[in-house]
Amino acid sequence: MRQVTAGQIIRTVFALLFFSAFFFSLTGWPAAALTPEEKLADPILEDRARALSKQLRCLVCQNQSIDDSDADLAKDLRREVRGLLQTGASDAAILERIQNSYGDYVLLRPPVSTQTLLLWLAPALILTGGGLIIIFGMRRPRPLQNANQLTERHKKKWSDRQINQADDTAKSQPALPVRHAAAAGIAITAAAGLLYGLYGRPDLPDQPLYKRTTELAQKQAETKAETEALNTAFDAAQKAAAKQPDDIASWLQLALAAARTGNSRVEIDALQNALSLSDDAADIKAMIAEALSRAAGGQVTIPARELINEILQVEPNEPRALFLWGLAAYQDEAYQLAIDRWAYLFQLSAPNAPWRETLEDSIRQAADDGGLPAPDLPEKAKASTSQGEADSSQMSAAEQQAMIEGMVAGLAARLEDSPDDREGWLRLAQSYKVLGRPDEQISALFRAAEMDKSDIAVLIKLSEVILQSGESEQHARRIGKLFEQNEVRDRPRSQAHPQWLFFRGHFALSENNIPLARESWSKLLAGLPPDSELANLLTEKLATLP
Amino acid sequence: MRFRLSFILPLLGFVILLGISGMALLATLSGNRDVTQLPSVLIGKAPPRTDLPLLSDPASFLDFSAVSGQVAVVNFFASWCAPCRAEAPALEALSQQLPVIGIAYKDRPEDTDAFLRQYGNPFSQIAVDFEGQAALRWGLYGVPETYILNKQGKIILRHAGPIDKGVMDRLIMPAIENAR
Repeated sequence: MRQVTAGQIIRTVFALLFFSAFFFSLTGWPAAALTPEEKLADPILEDRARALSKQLRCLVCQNQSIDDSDADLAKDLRREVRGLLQTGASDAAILERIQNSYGDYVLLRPPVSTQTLLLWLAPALILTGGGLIIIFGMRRPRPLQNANQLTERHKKKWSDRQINQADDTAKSQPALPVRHAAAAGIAITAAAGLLYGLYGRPDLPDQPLYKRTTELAQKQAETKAETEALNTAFDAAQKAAAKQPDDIASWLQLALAAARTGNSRVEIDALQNALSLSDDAADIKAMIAEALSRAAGGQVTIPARELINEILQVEPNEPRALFLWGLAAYQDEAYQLAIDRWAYLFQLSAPNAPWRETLEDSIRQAADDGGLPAPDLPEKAKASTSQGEADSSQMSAAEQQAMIEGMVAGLAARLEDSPDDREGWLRLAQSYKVLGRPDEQISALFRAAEMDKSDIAVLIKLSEVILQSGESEQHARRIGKLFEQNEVRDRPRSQAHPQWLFFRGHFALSENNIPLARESWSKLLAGLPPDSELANLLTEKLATLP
Repeated sequence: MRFRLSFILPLLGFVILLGISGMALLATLSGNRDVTQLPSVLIGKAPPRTDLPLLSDPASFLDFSAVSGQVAVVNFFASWCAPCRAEAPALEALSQQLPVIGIAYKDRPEDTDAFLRQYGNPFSQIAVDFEGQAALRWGLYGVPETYILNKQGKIILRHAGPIDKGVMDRLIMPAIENAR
């Protein structure tokens, strides 16, 4: 039985460790930190996003890629990568953009430069150095051993050798060719590895180098031509807008060109200009909200949300604003709310509206993410789109009415269960207005107004509806109370709000609150041009107050 | 003597390694090199595009031209960040002598307002980076992070982490004095 030495055990253990490490490195850890909602809908873009994420270092964890890391910064970078991909940027441009902010360090595969040359050459140097040592070590003759130290075994071997020398000439000589072969093998492997490191493209299919080069050059040329065309269009639009600063269309053209070149600041400025020329058009405002969101990588930001609320109060059915409104809820992970808002937009949309498909996908996505049942979208409308122009007949007025009534009944029932949903009440009020049921509209508005007594816009709206519907005494007193309790957060703005002042005075009277009426109207009067019609009316009214 | 090369080669390698690590160690011990700070690639460059709405007026954007011709400080902060509270007095002191621009990072405006009420408002302009996307262009690692712009509007210093007394005396003040 052969004895196992400690040295052999250690060698075996090391060999096992080495191989297990090798196999682990082959399998790789499957964990990716990506959350489902980050994923892009387009599978090709998503694949590119994953590949790029694997090349970028998570800067706070430092030894993980952003694809693997759960850190916030990694998540932000993933979002940035996907946002840039959606604008049509090339992989190289995206890496360059992030490298410009975070330096070479962010690239898990550092570029070859004079600073990193040593890093890149190190494996080859170490391999060559080790090879040299082995080769020189082999050339070195065995140290001469003292004859009297030779054991019997050695002696026997020695004599065997001498006996067999004649046969073994070929065997005992091969040291030199083996050394050369080993050196050549090491050198070739190292050189091949280095070359592949420098020029290899694992992301491209196998093909002759010239083909690959021409293909890459062609792609680059295409991208360049495209970018140039966009830039030219952008410059032209900028000049046109500068030449005709009073023309809404030229500003909108500029906004479009800016959006295509990813210049959100110019886009937003141009839209603001168009907006100021257009007398607060809701659709342009909605475009601004969209541009603000796009500038933030698709997130509906707080300023965008404020804008959306403004739009919907004036124009409750503005489709772009409604879509963003749903998206905002989705991003807050309020999936039911998102579905409700999108379903509302879906029902408003004409059967051939271009956004219908996106909308359906979004609704399904929200239902999936929230684990909620997808709502029944009207099949009839879908069928008519698939049949195309031949059956472009929209729903008849009666059908539409029935659908809205059904929707409103559903919303009202849901609000009875969860009456704290202020926005729900506002939407219900709006639906009642569409259906021409002012009494219900007023009571829904009251619910909303009583929930947040500082909301001036709701109070003004409610006042208008009450006046239009003939001003019953009960309503007038109820709203008068609201005006008395109207705790105003935003004082300067509300004091400047003439409608609010007027209605406050008006309904304060129905509560017999003479001082409040006098205060409101005097303030309003102070802000009016002296001889205007309203000013004269107010002066008269003030004079009749007891 | 025949195995000289095989002896000298490893020895040479060892000596080179020893030299490199010795230099790194000396630099760290002498305090010229902070191992926790990676250099920013933005040094010597103009600030990256920062199209951010202002806290006070979401319809207008942050504008660096307001501080052009002056040495200025740009500070990324957030109400949820504890070290930002710690460095509030340092920023207050800086704001006595030069403009300090604040960028509220991933912070709701109402929370930022509350934070400023409690810890003071040293900022000449405050922009809101609610999504943290603009911060990516600055190469931000986390909050707080402070940058110094020279009179030509170029970034001359980046410091990641709170400004304590050591950082103030050793980094911030010398950079400001130099830029003046």
